[in-house]
Amino acid sequence: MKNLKLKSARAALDLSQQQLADKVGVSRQTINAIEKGDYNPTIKLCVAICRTLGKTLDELFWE
Amino acid sequence: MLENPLVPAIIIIAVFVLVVIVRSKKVRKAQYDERQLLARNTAFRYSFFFLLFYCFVCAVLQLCNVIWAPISIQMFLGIILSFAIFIALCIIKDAYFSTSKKYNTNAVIFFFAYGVVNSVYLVHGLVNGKTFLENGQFSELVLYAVAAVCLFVLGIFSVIKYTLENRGAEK
Repeated sequence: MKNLKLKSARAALDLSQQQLADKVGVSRQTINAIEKGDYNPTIKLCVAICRTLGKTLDELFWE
Repeated sequence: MLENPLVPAIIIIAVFVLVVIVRSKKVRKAQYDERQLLARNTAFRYSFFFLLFYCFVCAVLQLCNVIWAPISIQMFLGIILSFAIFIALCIIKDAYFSTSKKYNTNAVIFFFAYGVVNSVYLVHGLVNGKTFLENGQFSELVLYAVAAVCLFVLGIFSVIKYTLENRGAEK
């Protein structure tokens, strides 16, 4: 299932996938895979993404 | 046994230099994220089981007195093929290129450089009158040919993937 919340939160900060990936320390494809729902990130990566985007885990990853 | 007594010394020095380079902190090593590590583990598993199956088939053929190549060539061929499978799967799953751009460029150069080295050995062997089949068995020229083809294919494959990835990043 696509993670549209993550995509919209990233777009709201005007960040590209590459910029978010660089800030979090992963590859662009990994961010792309998370947004497309092809990959379930670990809690460590979820927290890192949330901190970068200024959101909570619930806001981004809870359905 | 060895034609040149310097060969063992050269091998020892080469291994020593390689270990020093690998252990050096100045050398930037490839860094992979968690998804890439997962994909690399899967690719490693496939290539490992391929090598296991290949060894099994070679052993069965040996038991049945079907000797298609000397043992050393059979084993090196298995290693080359399993290595190629590993790299190909990594490239397909976006787990070959690390987050370090410099390392990625070196990785692409590696394929073409070793492809050229193998091609040179292949051409050198053919010019000196060697053939792919000697006494009904594959000669080492087959190794060079397979390695060259695998490396060039992987090189082209990685360049295509790298270009597509850069285009994707720009978007």
